[in-house]
Amino acid sequence: MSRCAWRSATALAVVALSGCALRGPAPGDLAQAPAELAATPFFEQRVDHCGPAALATLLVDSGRTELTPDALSPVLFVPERAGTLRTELLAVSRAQGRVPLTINGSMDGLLAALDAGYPVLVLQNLGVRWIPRWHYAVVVGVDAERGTVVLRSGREPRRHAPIDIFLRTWARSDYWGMVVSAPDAAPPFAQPLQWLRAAAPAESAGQTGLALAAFTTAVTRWPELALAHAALGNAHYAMGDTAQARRYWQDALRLNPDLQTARDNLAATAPD
Amino acid sequence: MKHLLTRFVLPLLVATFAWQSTAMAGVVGTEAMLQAEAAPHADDRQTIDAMLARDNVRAQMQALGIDPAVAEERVAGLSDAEAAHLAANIEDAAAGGDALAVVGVVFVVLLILEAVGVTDVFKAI
Repeated sequence: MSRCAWRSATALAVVALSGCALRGPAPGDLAQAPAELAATPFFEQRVDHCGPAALATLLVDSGRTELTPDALSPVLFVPERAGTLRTELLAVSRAQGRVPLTINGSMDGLLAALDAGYPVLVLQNLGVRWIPRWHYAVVVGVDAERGTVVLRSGREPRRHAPIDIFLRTWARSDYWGMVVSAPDAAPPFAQPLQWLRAAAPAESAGQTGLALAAFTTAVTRWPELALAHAALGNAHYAMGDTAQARRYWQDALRLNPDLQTARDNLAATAPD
Repeated sequence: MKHLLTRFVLPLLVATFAWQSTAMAGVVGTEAMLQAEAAPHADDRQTIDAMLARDNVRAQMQALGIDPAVAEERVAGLSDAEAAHLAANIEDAAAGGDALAVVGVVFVVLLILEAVGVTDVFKAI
């Protein structure tokens, strides 16, 4: 028996004895459970196409109303893996003009996103580590009375998953979850670095317009954050506007004289 | 050995890669800037060509059944760091997609796991 299978067998024995052996994050304060996001669309998935269905759910909810899972499948589905990669969920969100924010992987992070009106795309392993069954679904609410998480999942528009089982299946992806946001309105729960990290890949992925918009939002919302100004400078530089870029790098240095990359970028673009 | 490689060496390569690739162009991009801020002393960097990583991912995508023209578009939508990450991890990355091929005793084990609430294989999809 492999070490992995052995560990699972042990876990099974413990579960059978105690009823609950796998620790998850605290379930949060469910008495304060946010209202279910009933307006979130539902797309019934084709076999193995939970990725395109789940991302279409988020993107349409965010205002890209013309999108469908079938429109996204060609750029998301990996035939030989019969599934979708997380990295490409992020990349395609950006290509569709949305900032993909990976959320703080915990029940509290999930509740904060729902509370702000953002459905959360989660990666679950519905099987076990040694027989994985990876699945994307979209959390739209928590039913405190029934003790369930409400999901758009597979063919079910309102699947109720008991919270403890949901947490176990979600834990196997290290609580990976994401929301999408328009670049000109960062969600209230967004942390400054989280927002910058979500938008930064756009720069080298040919999505400079998205980077510019998202960093402009960052500078407005966190005006004291040197990194936001530096990032906005980088986006201007990526779009070919060196003069504007230098102004933002200088702003960044005024806010934080130790920000070496802003200093380096100014030096690299210094006029002769 | 594979384990060691996956856990330590490849992430280091990925972390240092974007910094290097943009630094060569003179101006450091935001992705690399944020990584440099998070780990300012990670400077035993090795050069991995951004083009090379993208070529690698494109080839792997084609091998995984993606049409060459579409693979081109998909690779273009990745950042430098994402391309490097996928070049190193595409084989191991979890692909969400429901596929489950089990027979015999494994099926019975899954039924038991489901009954005690460890898995959610049979009801969810």
